[in-house]
Amino acid sequence: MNQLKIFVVEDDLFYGELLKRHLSLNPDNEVYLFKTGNECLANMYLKPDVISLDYGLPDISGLDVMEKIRVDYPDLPIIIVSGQEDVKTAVDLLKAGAYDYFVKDKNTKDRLWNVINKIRNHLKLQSELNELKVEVSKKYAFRNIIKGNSPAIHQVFHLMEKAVKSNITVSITGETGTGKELVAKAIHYNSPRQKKPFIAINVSAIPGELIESELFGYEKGAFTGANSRKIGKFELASGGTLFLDEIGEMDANMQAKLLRVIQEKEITRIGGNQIIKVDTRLIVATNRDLAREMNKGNFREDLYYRLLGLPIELPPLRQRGNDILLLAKFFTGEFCKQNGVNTKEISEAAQNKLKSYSYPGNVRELRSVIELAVVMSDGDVIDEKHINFSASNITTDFLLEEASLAEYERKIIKYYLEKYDNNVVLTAKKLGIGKSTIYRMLKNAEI
Amino acid sequence: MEAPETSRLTLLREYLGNDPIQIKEMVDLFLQTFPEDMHDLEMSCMQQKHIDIQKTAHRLKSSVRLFNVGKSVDMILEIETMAKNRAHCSQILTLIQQFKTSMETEVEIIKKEAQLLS
Repeated sequence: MNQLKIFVVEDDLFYGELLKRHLSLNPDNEVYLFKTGNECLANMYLKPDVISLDYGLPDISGLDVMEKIRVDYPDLPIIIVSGQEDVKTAVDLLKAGAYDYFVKDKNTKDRLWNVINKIRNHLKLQSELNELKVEVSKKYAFRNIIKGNSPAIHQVFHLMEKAVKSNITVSITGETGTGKELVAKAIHYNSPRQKKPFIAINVSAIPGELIESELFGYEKGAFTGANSRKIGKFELASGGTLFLDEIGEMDANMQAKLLRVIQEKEITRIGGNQIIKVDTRLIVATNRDLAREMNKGNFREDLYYRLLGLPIELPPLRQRGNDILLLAKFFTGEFCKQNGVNTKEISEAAQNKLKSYSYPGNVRELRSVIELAVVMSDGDVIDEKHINFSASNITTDFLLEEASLAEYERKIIKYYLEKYDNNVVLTAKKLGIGKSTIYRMLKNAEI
Repeated sequence: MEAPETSRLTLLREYLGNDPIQIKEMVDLFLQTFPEDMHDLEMSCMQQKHIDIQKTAHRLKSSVRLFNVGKSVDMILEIETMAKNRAHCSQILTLIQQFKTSMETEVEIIKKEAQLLS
């Protein structure tokens, strides 16, 4: 924002002119003086950023002027500058939405100057925030974050377009690395909720006993260590979107509580009595087959159908045909730019190698492979030899190493830790071992 | 030339960033509007329009306060209160006359101080 447009509404010509000149000492202020309330109202088309309003105007009272302005400009800061030294008047005006109220005295100059500067800073921050929100929205435009031309990915775009136009719960499934969180973000930032928060939580990364407090929050003193109130993710995301990743890992007790929140659209913080209404859109994701988990009795049937909503299945990369090369070229360009080198070509042999691989880690794995290839190739061409599939080597060459059982154990744990972003809890769960085993190995630098 | 400590223009200096041209312009504006306000005050009093007396006194007190004229500020405040309480207009008029006399002296001081501004 450049200039701050200020209306000074004051019936005392001398006093009004003085305020106008005083505020104009800051060249970033553009000050207009009006002698009556009606004159101010007639000039609202100029769209002021802030109004300094005398309470005792000759035609209509400051309160009436403020109420009329509030109809069309509910957020416009209005400062009441009054000769009335009456507490009740001040309280009434502040209740009616005045930004500040002060009596004309020797401190008026400094108080007005300070409050105007405070409003300027606030508006500047607001403006920057709005710009950032626009930037984020652009960043999450579907085709900016999900690259691909395959029929499978076009079907995903089609479903995402349906999702942004409604409030329906979205359930995203897909193998690890297919971009479930990116899809969730893209839906949020393209939906009418885009200006409200997008909160993501990975259910599997939070111990079962903590998930309730994470989702619903708690009151001070709710349990040992609850030294202050904590707002839960459901409340934080109210008006926006809550993304629950790895929903299939949620335990039965928590599933029941989640179901209640979805049905009632209200929460109660742990240790609290107050019922809090929430308007939170849910997007859930899992790489498990939830229907199978439901049939096995691991996932509540009623919750399953509540969460199913609009299902979006993200195809594994190996089923996306030429998208592999399209993505490879995109990542190559991105990494070359990041490293400040000329864009590299991908040789035909390298392309064939990329196309023939199965990508268990999907797009995330392809990205890593390309990042390494960009670093490894010295010239302008990425060749076959620069393409290394580390995950593949582990599985195919595994038994050829003839290592000890302990060594294999270390390798397996290390592999899973890398696969699950060093999430010890999840790794332990996947491998069916105690997390303390992994912590001990990490502590002893065995892995 | 530096103005004396008790300058009537101290507050104007603070409001206007010590700019002599702007201070002079504001003094001129006061000298132009004050007699009009005084006239309104007297007329309202003679016509026994208490609300108008109150409004004009209320408006005037903000301006008068800006010139460090302690006694006159007390008088205009009293005029406003008397009008609000619907005191007899003859009593109010007496006080208005006293205020006018007091301000005539103050106006002369203000004019002299303004002339001294470089």
